[in-house]
Amino acid sequence: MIPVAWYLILSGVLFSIGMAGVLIRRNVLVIFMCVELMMNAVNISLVGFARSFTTVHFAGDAFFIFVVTVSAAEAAVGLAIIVSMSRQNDSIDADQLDLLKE
Amino acid sequence: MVLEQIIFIVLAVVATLSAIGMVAMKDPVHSALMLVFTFFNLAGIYILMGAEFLAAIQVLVYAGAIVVLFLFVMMLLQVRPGPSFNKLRFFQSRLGPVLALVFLVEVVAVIFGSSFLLNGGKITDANNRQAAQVAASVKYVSETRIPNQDAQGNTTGGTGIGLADVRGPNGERLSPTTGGHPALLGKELYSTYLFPFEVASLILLIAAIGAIVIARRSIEHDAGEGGPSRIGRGISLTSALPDSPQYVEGIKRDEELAATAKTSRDARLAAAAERKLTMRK
Repeated sequence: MIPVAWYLILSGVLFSIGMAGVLIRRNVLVIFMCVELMMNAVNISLVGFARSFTTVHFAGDAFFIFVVTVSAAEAAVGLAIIVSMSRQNDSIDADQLDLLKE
Repeated sequence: MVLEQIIFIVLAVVATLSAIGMVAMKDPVHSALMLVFTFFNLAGIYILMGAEFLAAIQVLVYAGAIVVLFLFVMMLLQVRPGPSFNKLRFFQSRLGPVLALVFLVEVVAVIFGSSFLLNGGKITDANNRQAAQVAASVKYVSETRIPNQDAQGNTTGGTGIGLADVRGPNGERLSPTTGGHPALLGKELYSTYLFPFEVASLILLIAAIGAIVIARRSIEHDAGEGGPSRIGRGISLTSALPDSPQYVEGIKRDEELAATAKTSRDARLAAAAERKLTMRK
């Protein structure tokens, strides 16, 4: 028996690491990977809750599928944006994305 | 300590360490490989939860598709390692981790603050009577009963590795081979979650179209020798607006490129730069 709290702590730790990565890193690709990690952290807590409470068994699993779908769509669009961005200003540094500032 | 818990702790610690490694690695390719490792460990945790299908999805979609997509983009862009940690700005190098740590403390405080989670997920505490009522109201009888219940009807955590002897309401054995996780999940997806499922397919379609539109090459790049034709060009997000600072800068860069390329006898590069210049003007 694994207590629910363990799932949630693992989920929280992974989410925080992803959040730290988003705040620290400047490479857009790595920031994007950190966002994927955060989505995975959420998935763990979804499935952990679904496994630990008898009420609605497969709600968490179904939501897992939807989160995977959304993150796949996000990866496609986000990587397209990164490709187009690197074509325009030859770098994928998040600090150089200041087109809207000017 | 039960074997199951030991396995969980090992998988969780390795997943956490490789996630930290992903953030800390300088080379984005190394980060991607660490991410794959994290995903594999998480897949192991899903198997431990009795969700084999989700583990398969985790490996196929995340480790197999999304990270490979990342690696493809890195190969296309030829990314170089970023600046090292101590060269970053004050906010990024100091405040960023602190903020994330504060967030982690908040999450853990909430987890331990909600008392019902402390005793293994039992909804018995007086503080959580409301939660118990909600849980009782949505409880429905189905063949999908997996989590274990004790005599009082309290949930006692996860399912184990799916090897537990799970009995139905009449004492019959609910064998994973007759239904199994994928079959039950599919049933749920196509009945209860039919509408969200259709919306998810729409999201995928729109994302595919959007990715193609965004990643298209710009107009001047598309136009061959015959000059730019605007038929069927779609929206170009990559070309700067005329007279914007980026546009002027781009022209300057092209001129410089043409000049340097001429001196360096790279005829192909010079021709390309000149053509780009004439397209812009």
